[in-house]
Amino acid sequence: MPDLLMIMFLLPLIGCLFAMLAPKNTGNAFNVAIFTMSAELLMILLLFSKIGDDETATRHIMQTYDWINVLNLKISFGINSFSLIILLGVYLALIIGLAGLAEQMRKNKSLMLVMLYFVWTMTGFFIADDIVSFYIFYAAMLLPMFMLSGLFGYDRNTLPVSRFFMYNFCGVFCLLAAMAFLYRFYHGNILLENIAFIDMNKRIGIAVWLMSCFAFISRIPVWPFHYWFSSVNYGVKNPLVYIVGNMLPLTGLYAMIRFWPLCVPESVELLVPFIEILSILTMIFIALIGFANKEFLYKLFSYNTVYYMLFLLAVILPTDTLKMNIAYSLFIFMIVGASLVVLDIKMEEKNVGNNGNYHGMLAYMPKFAKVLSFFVLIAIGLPISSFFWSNFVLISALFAQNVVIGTFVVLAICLVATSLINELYDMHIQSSSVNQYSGVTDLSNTEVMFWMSVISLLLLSFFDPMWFVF
Amino acid sequence: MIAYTALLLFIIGIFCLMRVGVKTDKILSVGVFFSVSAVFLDFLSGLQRQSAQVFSFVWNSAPSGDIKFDIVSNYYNYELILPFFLLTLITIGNNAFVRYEERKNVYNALLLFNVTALMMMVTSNNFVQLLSMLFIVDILAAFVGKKIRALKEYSIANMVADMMIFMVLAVINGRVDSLDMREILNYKSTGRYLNFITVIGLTAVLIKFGIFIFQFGIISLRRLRLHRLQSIMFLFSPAAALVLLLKFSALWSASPYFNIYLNAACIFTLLWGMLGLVISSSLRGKMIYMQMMFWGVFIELLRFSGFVWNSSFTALMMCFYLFSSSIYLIYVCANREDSFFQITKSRFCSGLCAFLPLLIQTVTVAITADLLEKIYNNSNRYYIWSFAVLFVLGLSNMAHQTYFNGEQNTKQHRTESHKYFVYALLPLVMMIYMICNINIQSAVVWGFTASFLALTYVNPLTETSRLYEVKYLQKMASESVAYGTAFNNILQYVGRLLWLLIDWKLLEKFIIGTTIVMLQRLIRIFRSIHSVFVGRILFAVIAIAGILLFAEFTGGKN
Repeated sequence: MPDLLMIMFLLPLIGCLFAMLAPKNTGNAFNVAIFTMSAELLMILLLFSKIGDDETATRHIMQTYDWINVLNLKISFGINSFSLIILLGVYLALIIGLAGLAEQMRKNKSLMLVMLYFVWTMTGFFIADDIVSFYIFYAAMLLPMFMLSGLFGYDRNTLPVSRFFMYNFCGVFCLLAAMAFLYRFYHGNILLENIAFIDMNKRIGIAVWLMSCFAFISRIPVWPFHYWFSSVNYGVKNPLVYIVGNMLPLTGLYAMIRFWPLCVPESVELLVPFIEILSILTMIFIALIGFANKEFLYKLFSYNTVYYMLFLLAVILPTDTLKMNIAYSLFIFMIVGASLVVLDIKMEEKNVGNNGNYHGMLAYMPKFAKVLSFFVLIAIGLPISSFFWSNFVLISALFAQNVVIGTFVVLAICLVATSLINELYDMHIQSSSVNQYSGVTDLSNTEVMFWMSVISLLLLSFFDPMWFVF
Repeated sequence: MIAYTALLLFIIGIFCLMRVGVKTDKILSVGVFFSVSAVFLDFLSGLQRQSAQVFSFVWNSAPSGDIKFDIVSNYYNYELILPFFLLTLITIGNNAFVRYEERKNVYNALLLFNVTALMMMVTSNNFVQLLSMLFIVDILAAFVGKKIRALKEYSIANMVADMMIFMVLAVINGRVDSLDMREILNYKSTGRYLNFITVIGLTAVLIKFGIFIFQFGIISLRRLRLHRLQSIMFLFSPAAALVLLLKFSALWSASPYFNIYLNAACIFTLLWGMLGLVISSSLRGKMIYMQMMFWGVFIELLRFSGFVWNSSFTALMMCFYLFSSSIYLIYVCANREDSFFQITKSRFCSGLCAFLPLLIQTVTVAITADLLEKIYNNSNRYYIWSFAVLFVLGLSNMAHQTYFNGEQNTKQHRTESHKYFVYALLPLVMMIYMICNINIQSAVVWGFTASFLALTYVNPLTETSRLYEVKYLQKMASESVAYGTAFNNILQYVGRLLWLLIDWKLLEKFIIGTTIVMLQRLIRIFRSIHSVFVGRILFAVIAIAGILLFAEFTGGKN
């Protein structure tokens, strides 16, 4: 069983090797990427079958490997249902992103290579169990992210990307400092789950938690850090880049979940109100900006931000019973977010020459309209997937903790939902002027089949979020 | 057992979704009507059994306990489901025998799914089940409406209301740590945030009913086809709102704001509805305003009876469905003319078929009078009398304009008149049943009916027909502008302002701009320091001093 973990970890690297050997300007590298991702999915299902649908979120499979013998450094990998379900969501979102790539992009070998490298770092990050390996993968994923955004993301200049990168770099350095403190003063390369039990000196405790929280929150688009995130997401032309960019907050959130102690020590207690206030302000602020913005992509960014804030608030609640609910929600959230961005970019591709105005366009694309509407309905939290009741449980817990916070959270969610619904209706409502969309093509039967399978996956989750575990 | 009925209706609904030709569709729709009638008869036999049965299974689990799927069959639930089921059956019947829809069975399927969802709502014991079904009813309403432009505001209003209910249930669940609906009484005993959840929950319910000042969602439906409008107003969001109100009234009524808020909303709704009924020249508009009046009165009567459902309310709902059916009949008799301004110019309605609406209206007024008399008591007398006066005035005004204004139209639409008769047949059967149950000797019933007929002939509000020509008033009656300005635009302006002030001015221009300028200056300073030998020495001394100070304050203290 531990070998499965290592195979899952190494598979993307093997994929990278194959992609590197593939000829240029053919679809071979793309096929390698798809094959690798499918193999990863299979590995996850195998791991699930070993673990079962245990909902306690304890680490079930753990393995330690010797790394640098001189320093007596060992690294640990481990996995549980919680990490697996998020990883599954990540892989599925990336597969959706790959499927949404334009024909020209599919032949781009470098893109596939960098994407597989990103998958490797993500896999490593989610299975890392000690502070050294955790830090390495946390930092390492910035490189493919930067390359993907800078090289394949935009038609315009990449100034926001470089700023974003620099800014994340600061976060990485903060985490490095925190890790160095822990490594130097407390028992070396300790397991992540033991961090919460370390009895730290108060000042060091504050410094370590402050630095790690800054490092993690800098990835989650909390105000004012949201600005870089929105700059990177805005105007992106490649769905895969958007999806990868959207996974960066996920890593911050996951890191918070792994680090955040259940019983908040005094040194951490100081941070909680600040995180709560900042999260709430960000939610309302971004929800309002998203409501005012006319771009569907920006509305999606606003939607993603609001939900990331909700998950962040749920993470810092003093309970661990919600972990699996957060995982279920994140799983659906990743898939729906990826699907919406792929559909939006597809729509923009079909609508070249109309100045980005696609109001009424869906009236000419009935199949597309149905698929998009379905995803928007799931996104806003209607009872079609487990997203609905998982969020209900999370929001209930927030209300139990603090009614004011809960009210603002619902208000922000309501705003982004209204914004998406408004946009969806505008896309449907035919303008009375000239019919400029008569030539647009609807989804092909293969595309419909693909989207139907994604929809089925989500629908089944409504009845049992772990339906794929046998 | 309600579970059995729901399952059968769901299966028939699935069957209705089969793709068939137009002719087969017509034949099948008749078959569907008879099948649903058979299920209805079986349901009625269950109503008479009066024994409670529970069908339950664990659907999923959450930290607050199991998410159960319950269908509780007891007399109260049977009684509450009865009006929804009955009205669904009548609508399916009309759809089968009168030309309603091009694809009749798809429409039937939506109605059947909706009534099944309503049944699940009524019988639920679990928050998640209740919420899921509530959302499903709203999704189905969007499918029934079909006309996207008309549904935008309605859907958004309902979604906001659903989110409010979501919030209320989340607060309760957070406090009592249970998803069980029966636990809400425990919440009542703690009393925390009771006023908050009452105001939020009640607002959500009022939005779904389309009660004043939250009527913009319902008003936007005036662009729909008349029969769809009628279905939505009786069987979809208002029906769901009614179930919610009945389920949560025990909790909300503990708040002092509940009665004040509900009472004020209902009185203003009654007045606003009356005003709209008189002013609006559109037949659809009149139907909507009449509906507003109805829900205003209905909720108030429910409040007077302590939110305990009984057969009188079922009959009252039935009566109002018949009223709106009479409006539909006026519409078809007037060659599907929506503008009352045109209807009053030329008298389309004549002949046996055309007088059916008047007949229905008269008999329904009698039944309503009987029901009001049954509900009447000292505490609600002013309300009932004011409602009665306003309602009879409004209706008689409409009836007078239909039958006594304008010239006789020679181009009558007689070819389909037998269908209109069929349309009225089902309601008529219901009416006969109800007439048999009313107190025929009651002076109130006779007085009420006679007043209606007299007022129809005399019409004290004759001059109001001039209002149909005032464009400003007609535009105002549509009220869609309220949503645009009060809700959408304000939020958009706030969003833009925030982006401009905080994102652009503060972050981009001030913080980032300042950081860049400071960095440039620092680089210049360092360059100039390094350009002279003394500067280098000075820089080295400052750096060493800094390191020493840092070591002094932090070193060796851990």
